[in-house]
Amino acid sequence: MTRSAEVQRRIYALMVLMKAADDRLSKGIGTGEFICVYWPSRGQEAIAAAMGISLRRDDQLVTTYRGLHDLIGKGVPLEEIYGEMMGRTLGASRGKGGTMHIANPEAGVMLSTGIVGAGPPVGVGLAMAAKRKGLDRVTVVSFGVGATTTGSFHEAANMAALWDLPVVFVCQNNLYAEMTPTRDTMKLEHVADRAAGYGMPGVRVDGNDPLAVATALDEALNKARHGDGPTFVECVTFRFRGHYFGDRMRYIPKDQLDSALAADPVPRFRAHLLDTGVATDEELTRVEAVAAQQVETALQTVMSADAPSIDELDRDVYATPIRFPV
Amino acid sequence: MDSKEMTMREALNLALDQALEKDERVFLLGEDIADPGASGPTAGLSTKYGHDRVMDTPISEAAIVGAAIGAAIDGLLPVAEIMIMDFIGIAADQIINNAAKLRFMTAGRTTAPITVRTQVYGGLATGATHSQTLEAWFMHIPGMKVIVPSTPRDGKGLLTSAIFDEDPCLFVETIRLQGQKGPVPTDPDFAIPLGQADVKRPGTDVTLICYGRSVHDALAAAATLQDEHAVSAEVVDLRTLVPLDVDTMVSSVRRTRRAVVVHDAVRFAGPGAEIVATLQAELFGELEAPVERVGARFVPTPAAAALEAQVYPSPARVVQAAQRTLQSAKAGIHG
Amino acid sequence: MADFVVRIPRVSVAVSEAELVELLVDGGQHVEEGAPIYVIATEKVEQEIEAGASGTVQWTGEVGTTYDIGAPIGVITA
Repeated sequence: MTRSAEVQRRIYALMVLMKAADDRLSKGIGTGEFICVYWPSRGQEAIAAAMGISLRRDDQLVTTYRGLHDLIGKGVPLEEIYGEMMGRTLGASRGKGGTMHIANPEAGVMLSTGIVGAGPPVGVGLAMAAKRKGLDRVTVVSFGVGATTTGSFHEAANMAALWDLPVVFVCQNNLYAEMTPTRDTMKLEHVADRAAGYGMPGVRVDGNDPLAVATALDEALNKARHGDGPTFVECVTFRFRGHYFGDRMRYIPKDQLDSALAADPVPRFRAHLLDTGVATDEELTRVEAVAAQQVETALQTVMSADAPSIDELDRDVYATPIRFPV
Repeated sequence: MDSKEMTMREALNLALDQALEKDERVFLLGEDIADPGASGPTAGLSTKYGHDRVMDTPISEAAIVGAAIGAAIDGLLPVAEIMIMDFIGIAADQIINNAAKLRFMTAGRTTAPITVRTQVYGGLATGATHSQTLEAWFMHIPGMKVIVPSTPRDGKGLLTSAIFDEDPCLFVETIRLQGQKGPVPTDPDFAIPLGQADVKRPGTDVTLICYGRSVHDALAAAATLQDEHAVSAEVVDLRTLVPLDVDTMVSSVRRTRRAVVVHDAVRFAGPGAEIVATLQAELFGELEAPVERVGARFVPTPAAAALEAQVYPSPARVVQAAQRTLQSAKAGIHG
Repeated sequence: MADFVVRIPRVSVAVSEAELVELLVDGGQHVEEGAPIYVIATEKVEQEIEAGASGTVQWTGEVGTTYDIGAPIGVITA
């Protein structure tokens, strides 16, 4: 499918924003400018940008702790993301959830999970709700390859297929389950092959090519939206900064990292836009500058915001506070 | 209020039936809960409301609770069933890390007001993996409410409250109580607020604090204490462990100055530990005797009936514990 | 631009303190953003830390001392 120049430029703008947001965190933490924990998504931008343009605002997303790119793609304001990471009142949950637990239902981000494999069952329930309400909304569950070896994923995939639920399972296969290579965690070479075991289609795409991902997603979304059940979309990619920020990545062979960096989806898509005449170098340079500025503004806004007040501890534990002996 | 004699099973069925009837957001999901396979409190409901509101699921406890959470985030009121409480470990991650914490972690932007119904099979010679009484696990998790009814009336009123409560609720049923009969209000609006203990029998000499099946041991013990020992025991049924009705419990013991906590969960690190700690903190100096605890022995539940009978509390053990509180001098001589 | 306070970074998720092992730039010298300016050790692994801003660096931290993450050890004045 051919995408309009406008859509392709939007994809690039999203990818660049995701990259800039990740780079700025990396720089700020690395130099001691600020302190927060995060699980970098650098390298996986093509998938999240494709979701960003393929999903409707009312489509829902369930993502994971490695969700910075996914959240940006789905339209969560950067201030909410950074604010949550830094524990400030501006955060999506006023700092009460942290990096791994960001939700923004208005943007369709219903859950971010810190537990690998915990998202798919919840995605199934959100899709059940859509079906029950007669909505043509789709729930996308985004996760890494490690999630597919959990029992929780298996249970959810089976249920989604059994009941033809409007779910798309997006596996961002970055070739590692935390610090262990995928090949040491499963016999299958292609994760998408799992789908056959549940009676749903499984497709495998180049996760560094946003147009390929968007094409696969559109087909899966369309199918789900029309009552034809779930699809498993495996997007093969790489993460450049390891499992968590500061991961020394001793377990990644140098030649593998080098060739992954050489296939960095951001410059690759930039070159594609130039080669196909979709945009000029000057235009793209401007897009990059805008993203960097947007990230810097968000960061400075967050850094000057307050930490949550102590009374937050008494809020949101229960709907109505319950008195417990302290 | 009109009331009808029925079993606990029928009372719970009526609560589910009326909830399904009055609110479209309510639906049930679980293993073997739909007809014709259903035999517990859900029997007949799929026939009445259809299989998409009373849904049989695959044997997938994590996904049953996870799916309930997803639907609840989206505004529905799911009632998930974990057939036997021992299986709840498989769903524990969803309960502990999603349901209980979402409200806090998202500052109220998402919530999961699910009800998880489950049943304790203890006392039926089903062995160590089909007998456990595990409510203490979930009392330990901020964000969860934990409910354990003892009578058909309480079962109906508390389940109705749980289904429509804004917080995730664990509702613990007991197989040995499902056939017990009692009067139950039939009004669909009948509900018992969560966090209100019930004095099942008034008394003046010792307070027996209990919940769930142990309420019946406590009531039997209270009768024996009265008839054979001229001791007046007050029976406080907590009904919910979270919220815990500290006020009712403490005001009773403040009068009687002696207490025995009884539960089917193992005694060591059981719910009674928290209750006793609360009582001593509130009433130190007013107690006439150390607070006694009667709970299951700290062993995997044995299968052989002769062994299993030794494990759980019994009226006789409650009577003995109550007598110890009456014999114990304040100096600390502990029979 | 405000002074950039040089702090012990949380270089990894499981790190709570680090030893200041070496200063790569003398106090009073100019540093460029992105250039390594000091070395810390966590879990016996040494790591060069880059300047978070350009300017003149002044050190307050002492080599051989272990600091909590977030502790200030110097300042870069533009």
